Amino acid sequence: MKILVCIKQVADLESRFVVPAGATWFDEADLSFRINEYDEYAIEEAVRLKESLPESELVVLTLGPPRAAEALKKALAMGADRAIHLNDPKAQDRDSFSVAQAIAGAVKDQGFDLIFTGMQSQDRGSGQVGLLLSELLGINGVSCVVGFAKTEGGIQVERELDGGLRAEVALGLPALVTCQLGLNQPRYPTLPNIMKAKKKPLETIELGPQTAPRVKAQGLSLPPKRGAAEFIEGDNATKVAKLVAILKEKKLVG
Amino acid sequence: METKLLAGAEYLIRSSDPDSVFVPEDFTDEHKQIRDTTYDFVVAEVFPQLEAIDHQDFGKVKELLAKAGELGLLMTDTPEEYGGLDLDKVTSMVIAENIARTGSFSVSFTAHTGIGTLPLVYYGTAAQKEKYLGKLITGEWVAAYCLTEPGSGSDALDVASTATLEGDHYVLNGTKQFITNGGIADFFTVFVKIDKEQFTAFLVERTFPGVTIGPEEKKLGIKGSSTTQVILDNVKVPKDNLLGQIGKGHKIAFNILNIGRMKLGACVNGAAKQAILPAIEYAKERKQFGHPIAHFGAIQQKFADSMAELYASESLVYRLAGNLDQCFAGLDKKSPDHYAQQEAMLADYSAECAIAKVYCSEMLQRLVDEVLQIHGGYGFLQEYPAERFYRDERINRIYEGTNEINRLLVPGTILKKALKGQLPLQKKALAAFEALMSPSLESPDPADPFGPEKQAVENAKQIFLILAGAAVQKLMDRLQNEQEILLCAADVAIELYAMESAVLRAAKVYPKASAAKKALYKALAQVVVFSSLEKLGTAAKQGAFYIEEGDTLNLILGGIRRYTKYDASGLLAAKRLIAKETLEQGKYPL
Ligand SMILES: Cc1cc2nc3c(=O)[nH]c(=O)nc-3n(C[C@H](O)[C@H](O)[C@H](O)COP(=O)(O)OP(=O)(O)OC[C@H]3O[C@@H](n4cnc5c(N)ncnc54)[C@H](O)[C@@H]3O)c2cc1C
Repeated sequence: MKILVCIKQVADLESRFVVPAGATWFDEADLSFRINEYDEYAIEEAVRLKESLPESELVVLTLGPPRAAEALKKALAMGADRAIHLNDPKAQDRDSFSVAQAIAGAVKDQGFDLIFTGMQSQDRGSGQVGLLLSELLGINGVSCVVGFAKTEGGIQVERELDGGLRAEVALGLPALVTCQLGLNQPRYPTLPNIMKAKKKPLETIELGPQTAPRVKAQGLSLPPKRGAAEFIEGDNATKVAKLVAILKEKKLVG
Repeated sequence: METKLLAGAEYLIRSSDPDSVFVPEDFTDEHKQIRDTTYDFVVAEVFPQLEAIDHQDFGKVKELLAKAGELGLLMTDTPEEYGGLDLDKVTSMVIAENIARTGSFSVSFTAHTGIGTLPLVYYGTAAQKEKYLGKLITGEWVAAYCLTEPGSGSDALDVASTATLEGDHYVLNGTKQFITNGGIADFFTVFVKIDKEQFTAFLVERTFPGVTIGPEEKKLGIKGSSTTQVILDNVKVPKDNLLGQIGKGHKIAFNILNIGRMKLGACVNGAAKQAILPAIEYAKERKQFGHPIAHFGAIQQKFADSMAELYASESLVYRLAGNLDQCFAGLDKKSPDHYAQQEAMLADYSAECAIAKVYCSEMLQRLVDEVLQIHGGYGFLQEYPAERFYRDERINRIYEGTNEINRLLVPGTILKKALKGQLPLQKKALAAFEALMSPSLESPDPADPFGPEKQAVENAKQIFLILAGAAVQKLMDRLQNEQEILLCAADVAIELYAMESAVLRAAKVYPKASAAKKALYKALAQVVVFSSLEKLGTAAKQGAFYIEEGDTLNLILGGIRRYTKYDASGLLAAKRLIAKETLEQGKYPL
């Protein structure tokens, strides 16, 4: 079986983001980057499947700027066999369709039976790339997967629906699944595997610039700061007294 | 500037090109991944057990060591032919630093991988390695190192334990004191004297009849690490378990300590990075006089000074580890005397290893004190983490050689090198004295963003040369008994190495750094240089008064004044910037 997992490197969400005036993306200087959290579940599920199927091959792919190679190396250390880097220094300017299109172009002739992606990226959160990719490849696609099993002729997955409902879905192959948080427990790579990953093939394909974007970002800004809330505790008499004191202090009552 | 690798102690007389030093910003993707795996292990597996471990649940400690083994964290210094990874020393430092966030557990961990396992790696025969290494790198067995005795601490070679040959085995007798992992170890490297004369190491299994373990010592800190006596009562040890050569045990004891001292530097840096976290959080939360206390300059300065010293410590340890890796890279790993060659190189850098131990452990001392102080009265309560950091810190200035012993080692090693002709100290000292007679010419390069700092480093070298030169000139052979003077020279050499490492790192990463980072590196370098220069100036002055009098004394004092001049304009802004970055990022800001 040939398995593909598509991942993205995103800025650590705990970073302090700075958006330069007029820019449509944040300043990447001094940020640290890591694998999109959803994708870690995708990698883990793909690695488990690969380990359960001798003779299978697991390829990891990313579309991203040069720094994204670091994410590929981690996926190799977690257990992927080889990596493909669709290199685009301006990857952040691409819309979801163009990302899916570029990936489809690179993998359509490689005959993958199963493709794993994260449900969405933590930075853009569009949730589109996975399903667009399945459409462009003309294969089955299912999103928001919280349970996965390989069956005789295909796969059986559990999807998370609104209100905590779960749907069981059976699919034939080839198929693409987008993975939700909590699908499994992603491993941390062991030291021997980190060192072995150095010798695994990592192919870099230079992408040309995106043509005719369908969606164009107009601007990017940080959400306005919300004021701090204060929780007043105590019995009713204390609460009232505190409330009145605050209202007086803020000169909201006379 | 020369690009030849800096030999041991050579930093005192030669300037280094910033591009020649290793800095943490140079970490490879593998270093970063290993850092992340270690950190994730610490957070996910060890942190939830810290409380249990501090209450001496040693079962948990063994379990966690085995888990660390599964991840490969115990095998980085072991040759590949015995199942290890044989990675560079920088990697060992990265692991040590992150494990050290766990306090007591890290003491067990480092004793196991360091002093517990390394004697076998460096000095074991193929058969010994075959027999034991596999068990140690998986964590199936825990290792301990038994050098200290009730009557033999700093004077480590004066052991009373003995071995006598009886047929095909030795019979060992004696009591070992303060043995880390004593209560949980399966495997001991034990130093004894054969026939009361030949200082020699043996590999002893816990199950050998006659090995008994004393009760757990009740300690001030690192309470979750096992510390016991190990008592040998007519223990029969097969001849094959003699480690290294008869009478050459001192080589094992001292060389393993060289690595251990550098690694202790990495460990305390990790402990510092962890200890500062609750202080930052607390300073932002705690309000007095209508403001979070983080708002006050007195508190900000604590963060600024602590982070600057931590920056210097970190720069120092990775510079040294990188330096050793560059040396080792030139060796043939397949060569039968590979480890003998490594040993010789390590010995060459023993002054730097001692410096790492002293500078970094005293950095942590001041840092945990400030962490506690920032918490006010709450810092004094066991309920808050500051109290544990404060107690756990203390041991670092005692083991792996007390800081007194390590300080004395610094000038001791340097003078020995000079005597052997490996370091042209005398020639350079003479030149430094001659320079004193001429008007000062030194002025920083205005085009270099670190011109004043680099000049300060070069000036500090002159101070060392003047002081060491004066001491040797005046006291000659008697110098080795004048500890007060040796300690002054040590302090100059220590602060100098730290500040030089801090400046070289900033200068190396500066050209590629963002504008925000450029300002931060400049601030850190400035704060370190100012404070190190002041400290080493004071030490040098004290030394001068100890050594000389009259005109010569005045000449030396004048030289110290001249060479401690440093224009630190903007120092306050630099400290406020460091504090701001620390508070905003919520951690050590690099
Ligand atoms: C928690 C803990 C864990 C330890 N783990 C281990 C271990 O795993 N294996 C092991 O072998 N040892 C271990 N040790 C022992 C440790 O290395 C020694 O305690 C240390 O080397 C000091 O020896 P001592 O305690 O006998 O002090 P002493 O040597 O008696 O020193 C007392 C004081 O005198 C000073 N002093 C001694 N000699 C001189 C001198 N020549 N000049 C100037 N000052 C001097 C010292 O600096 C110190 O301040 C451990 C100790 C502790 C507390």
